[in-house]
Amino acid sequence: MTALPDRVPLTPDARSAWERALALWRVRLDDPAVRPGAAATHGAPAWFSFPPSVTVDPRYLADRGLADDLWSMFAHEIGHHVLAPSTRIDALKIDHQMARAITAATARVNAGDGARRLSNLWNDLLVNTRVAQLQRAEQTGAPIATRDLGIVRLGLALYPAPAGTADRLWWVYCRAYELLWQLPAGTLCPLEAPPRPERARVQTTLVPLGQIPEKHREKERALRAAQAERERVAAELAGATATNPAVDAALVADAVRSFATDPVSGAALFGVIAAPYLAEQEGLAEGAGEPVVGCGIDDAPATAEELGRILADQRLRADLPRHPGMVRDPDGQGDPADTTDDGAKKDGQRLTIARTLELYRESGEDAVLAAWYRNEAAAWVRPYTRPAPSTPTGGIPGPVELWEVGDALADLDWPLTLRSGTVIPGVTTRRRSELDDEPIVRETSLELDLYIDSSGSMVHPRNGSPAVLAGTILALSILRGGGRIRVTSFSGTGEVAGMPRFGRDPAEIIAAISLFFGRSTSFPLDLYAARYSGLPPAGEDDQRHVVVLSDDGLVSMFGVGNEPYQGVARTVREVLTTGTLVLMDRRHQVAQLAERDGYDVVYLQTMADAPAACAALAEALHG
Amino acid sequence: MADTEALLAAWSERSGGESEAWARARPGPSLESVAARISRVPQEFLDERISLRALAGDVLGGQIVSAGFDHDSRVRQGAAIGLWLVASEGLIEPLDPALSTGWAALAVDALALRVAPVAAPAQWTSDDERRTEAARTFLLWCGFVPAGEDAATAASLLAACDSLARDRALAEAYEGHRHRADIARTLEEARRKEAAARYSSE
Repeated sequence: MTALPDRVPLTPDARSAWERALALWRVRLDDPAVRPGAAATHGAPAWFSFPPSVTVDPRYLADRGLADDLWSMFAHEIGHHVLAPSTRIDALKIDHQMARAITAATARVNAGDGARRLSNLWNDLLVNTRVAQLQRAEQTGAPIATRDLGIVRLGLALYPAPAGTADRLWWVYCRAYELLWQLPAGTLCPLEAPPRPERARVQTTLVPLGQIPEKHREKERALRAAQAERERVAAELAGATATNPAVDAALVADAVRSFATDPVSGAALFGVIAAPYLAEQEGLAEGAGEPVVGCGIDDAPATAEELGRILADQRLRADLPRHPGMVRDPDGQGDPADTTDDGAKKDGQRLTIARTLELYRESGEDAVLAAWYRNEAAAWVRPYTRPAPSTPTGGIPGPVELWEVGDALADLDWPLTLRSGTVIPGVTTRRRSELDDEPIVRETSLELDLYIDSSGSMVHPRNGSPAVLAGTILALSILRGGGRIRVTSFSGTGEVAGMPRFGRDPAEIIAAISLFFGRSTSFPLDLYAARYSGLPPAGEDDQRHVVVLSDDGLVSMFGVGNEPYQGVARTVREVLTTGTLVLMDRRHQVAQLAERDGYDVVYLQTMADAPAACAALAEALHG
Repeated sequence: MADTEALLAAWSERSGGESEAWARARPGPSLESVAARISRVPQEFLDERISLRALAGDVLGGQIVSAGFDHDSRVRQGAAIGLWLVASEGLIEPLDPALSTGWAALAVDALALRVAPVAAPAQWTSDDERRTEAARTFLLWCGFVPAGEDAATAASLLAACDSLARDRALAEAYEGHRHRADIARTLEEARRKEAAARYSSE
């Protein structure tokens, strides 16, 4: 980005405009940055950024005869800080909602860029509608015509699209303003929406039927007939419009009225209405005839902590609303969506890991993966504990005993002693003994040594790994129970990473769990032996638990292909309290070896199995 | 309940054309003042036991066409709210200019036969947009454009909030979506058939 023009001090006029805009929203903000000529470099005459700040180019307005409306421009930008998106995290959440809606409408559009555009439109709609209401309320005395309100005048000057534009979404956006601001039709946009863009037909060339071997010709003919039929229906689908600008503009206006104060929830509805327009534009030149609007410029990628908060928001996890145009009867009779496959509907509505990674690629893959697995695991996390070693507690009075010289003087039971009449130490002196009560059952934290296989035969965390999910649930559950954990990720020889000692830092633990080498499989028996050699057998007080997440390649743990260390697994098992293998091993190839050396086995196949596997582990660890 | 189409037909017979209404309209009370009156309609006016004929006789001193359809509760309530607007000028204070200087009976029929069949009168008090629609319709047929608007603007804004046009557009959009969903299902079926027709050249 080229350098912006220098900031100049506020002129008295600009200061009074700023004060008036602040008074409109009844907030206080730091002074705006005034940068004459910034619109040329930045592309928009004003913008906002976080932490809350506002930048305006007054020259852009003055050149267009809008100098008097500077305060409305200020009011618009302040509105972004007060109403929509209001905070950086909400801005990211709105983007996320839009990305979900776009993903459900089309698989081909880059969700990130489209989402940013839709978020800008949605935020501006909310802010401008509210500013118009506030400006109308601010007027005292004679009622003012709608088109004389500052924000409406600004809109009339800046929003109308150039003549002949083909951008149908922009038409819907302008028409929605006409409805919201109560302007006559044709003020901000032409009376009729631009026509739908034409789709180019893809022509496939086929090998002449004569060149197909005789014996296949009949089958080939049937296949070609089926292909032609499929192409015909696909073309028909492309021709059947999902967009109806005049109706959609009214639906957008409804959405703005309904969600005037909840931008994040309303974003899903707006996205569902607007996303089909992006879908029908795909293939056209990028941003054809699209006027510049974006005044949100915050391009810093989401941090790991922000990702966690975004993915955890229930509003972003709920199903997308149905397109309001599809909901006709309140009793839902004859709903076309009722007949669609439920599974397919769900799949399109939650962002998969791949889509999430694409959307937040600037945040870094590790951070996204960690946030994603943590969030998926969250529903299954519960404290994992074990019974504490029983600590006897006294308190029950026992039989009377002789108090001897040398016993603590405080133990002497004087009433009993004096009952005999004389006090002869060691002969008539008595004391009351104490018996142990039933030990109180208490739970205490666990310490878990977790080994996770990250060889090439395991599923990459990017593609939804059951092992990583199970490991995350397990690790977070141990932490919830107050325990500590040590994670070791292994692949081929010498490819071992993770934590040198037990710890409680979730970020470090999850980073270690989702680490992926993607090479051969060789369990680090040398490290395993070094960690546990020479230790006394585990007792009640000092328990040792080992869990290994792997697949059928874990035969290497029992010395297969690593003969010098054969027997390490068995030796180590003798000093452990529990040793459990969580395996993605359809053919149960490791079962025999594991049983020989005393390891328990839990099987895991899909992501959906992970919670059950973890429940089994919780039982095993509890003892 | 009377058929919606029959009510609308009765209205088109009664109204005598919308363009004539716009032509004769002159500046009237503000939209907000009429809308505010609508939301203040007293329960007594909406009471099912009140005879619409008697109410119209009391308020207007004459009869209204919609009284012939008073077995339909939508018509009854719509007309009652219209009569309340006229009566409120005596009970609260006259609007400026007074509604009674216009075609009050025609305006009451407009509410009862044109708006009530497509937007239930219960919504006029709960939904801002439906209230605006009722107020704009009432003003137009009473012979007014809302204060501060010209006839073209007022016509466009009434068209934008017209429930009848909106219902038709939504029905059309709904058909579009349903048609699309049908084709999408056909496409799934065609894809399945194509997959089944694939063969191995071995």
